[in-house]
Amino acid sequence: MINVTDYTIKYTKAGDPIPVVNGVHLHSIYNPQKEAETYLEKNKQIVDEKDLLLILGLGFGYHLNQITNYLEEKKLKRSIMIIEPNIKVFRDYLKVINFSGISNEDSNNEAIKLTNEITCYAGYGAQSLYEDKTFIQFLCGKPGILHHPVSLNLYQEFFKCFLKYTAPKDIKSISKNSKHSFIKNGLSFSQDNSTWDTLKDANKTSTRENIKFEFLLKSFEALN
Amino acid sequence: MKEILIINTRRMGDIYAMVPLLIALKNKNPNCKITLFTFDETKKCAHHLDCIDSVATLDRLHFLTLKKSEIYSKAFALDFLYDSVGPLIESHWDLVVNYSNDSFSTYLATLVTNTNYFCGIKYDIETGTLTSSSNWVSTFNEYATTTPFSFVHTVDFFINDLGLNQSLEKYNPFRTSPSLDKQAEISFQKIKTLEKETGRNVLLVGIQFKTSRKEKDINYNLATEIINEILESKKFYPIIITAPSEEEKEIAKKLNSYFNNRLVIVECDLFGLPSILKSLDYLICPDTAVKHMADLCNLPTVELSLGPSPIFKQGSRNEKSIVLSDDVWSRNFSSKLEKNNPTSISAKDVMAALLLISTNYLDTSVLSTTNTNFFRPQNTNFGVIYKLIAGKRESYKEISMAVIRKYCVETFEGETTKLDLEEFSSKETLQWAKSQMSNLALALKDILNILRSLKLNERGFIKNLDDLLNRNNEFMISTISIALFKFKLENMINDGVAVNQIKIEKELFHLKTQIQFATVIAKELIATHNLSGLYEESRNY
Repeated sequence: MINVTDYTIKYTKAGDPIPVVNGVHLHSIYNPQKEAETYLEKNKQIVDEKDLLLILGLGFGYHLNQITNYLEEKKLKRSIMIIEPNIKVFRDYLKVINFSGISNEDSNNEAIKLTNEITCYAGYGAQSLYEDKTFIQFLCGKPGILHHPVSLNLYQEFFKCFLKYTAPKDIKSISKNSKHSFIKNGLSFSQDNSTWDTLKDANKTSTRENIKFEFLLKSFEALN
Repeated sequence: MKEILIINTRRMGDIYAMVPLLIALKNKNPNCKITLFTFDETKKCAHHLDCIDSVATLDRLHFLTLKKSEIYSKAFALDFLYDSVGPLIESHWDLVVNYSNDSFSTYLATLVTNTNYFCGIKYDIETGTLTSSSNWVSTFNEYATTTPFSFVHTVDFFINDLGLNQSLEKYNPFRTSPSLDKQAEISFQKIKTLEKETGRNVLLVGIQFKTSRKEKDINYNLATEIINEILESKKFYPIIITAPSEEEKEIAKKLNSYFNNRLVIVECDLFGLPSILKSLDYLICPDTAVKHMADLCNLPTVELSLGPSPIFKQGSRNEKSIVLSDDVWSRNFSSKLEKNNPTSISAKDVMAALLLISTNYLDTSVLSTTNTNFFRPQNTNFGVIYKLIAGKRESYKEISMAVIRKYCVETFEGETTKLDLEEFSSKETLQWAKSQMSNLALALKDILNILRSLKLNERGFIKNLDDLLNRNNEFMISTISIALFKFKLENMINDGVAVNQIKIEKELFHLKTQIQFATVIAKELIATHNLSGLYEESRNY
């Protein structure tokens, strides 16, 4: 969901690489470190207060670096997840940091653990992200959200989709996302075009397993 | 080894209040393994109870985040739910107990079909109708949940359902740290020694005042008055007990400042509390988890039953304790109390109760004039009841509770029990019996009307049924049998008009028998109290 017409890497006078996508420099071509310091200052409160941090946009990670240095200095432990829409930029980032872990160059998207505390989701669409259980688990922890302004602006459509996402309610999608055969079987008795809201009214064959599933649904609804 | 699953998804206090049932189960089956299913937020209290062998939990808050948010597929919430309850559904159990008796636990209990025996309410998985394991549980579901009053403690409904012995063996069911036990013992002994040096042999009284609900708290002013009374008594020594929360620390600090930093304040978490309670002589507290813990530690307690605290259902069970209440029969048990609704329980009432439990001394100057109800828990073969020992009487309602209890024991267990109404005058008992006989006669008339309208397919059937159900109230001896009839009616399987008519008729005849039995009890009461002459005389007026 990103439209990349042009991608190149430029270098600052000090030799720091800067990705340039569709003519937009993802970091300052003059002093990316200074820019990252300013970024940290603006977001310090969130970094101080939240155990979980979600960063929207990675680029070549100068702001991420600034944050991790700050956390190390303050001896703070955080779990960080990053969303980088552009898989090519991400792969180049891995080269820049001499990442020694495993990366699948043939894949259109990757979730890579950069360190024990930092995971990056690169190249994922919004729906794929929201169907990833690790990502969901992380979101349930109510992370602080930091956005990389240039990335947000550059990949507007993607982030709009991400931030306004609602999960599909059709039974097929729900069934696809469940890992339990008990639930998949229970849902399979619904009509093809059923949705979550019409699940109760859908025609079902009353087998014992299905009756049990109906009671599971009742317990689901009863729990508030 | 017997595998027992207890479903209790209520609050911490309810977990502790349930422990007498677990003790009774362990006494009957010493090698049984008890698994408690509860929510994450209460699991910590289960972990330090040695009568619970295993804890299965559901993180309710996480589940609700997944369920309610539009960004998460419903699959995740479903999976999360099944992750927690699936292992219970797939396991075999010798006994499953639906203790919490709410919608969620009832559906869950329904799903756990692989069990030899069940106690509680659940749905029949084939017919979808609600079923009950016994009259005790049906009564709990239909009667005790609809009224603030109950004729036995909540846990006793389940103990009776399972035919267990009311365990009078007191053992401390907590896993405590020996070093913490020792530390508490030494520290409190030091206090006693220091006081002894000033010529006072003191008894240590723990005071805990904060609950999870403001309406149930012992307010600051009353707390200071109670502490003052204790300090002035020279016989007792106050130990303030607080949880490690900022709010309670602030209140304790304020209290201590008021008393010129003279107070001993003990701050401890749930795990440390039993060690503290074991070393105290008495406790003063509202209706909290601490009260239930004190019961389990056999620590006599002066309990202040405030706000919506369900005194007869979840009061202290220790026969040495006293439960104080504002006039219980006109008390507002609503969870939504108006702001300015202060208790009339005074510090003098609390001291009188403390003296009573420590020395058996009846401070008549307080007890004869107070409006506060003083109740003493009393163990009977079928559960803990609360006997009024001081304060305003409401004879009619008290007699009702006693007779309803007798009715239940005799009809559910087939055991004859003695009715102890010595504290009531003959006139009070006669008035009660007259009113009940009149009501029972009306109930019989309603039943006959219903039977006739059923037979003749008259439209009046619903109206007559309404008359019967609306005439019922919690203090009528007929209330239990009518409640059980209602339960059966509401959960009757629809087998068609003709078959259902026969079933309803059968239940009505059964109800008629029960009402007649209740009439016998009322008549026996009159006969036993030699009131026949008086009754006949009053009928002639």
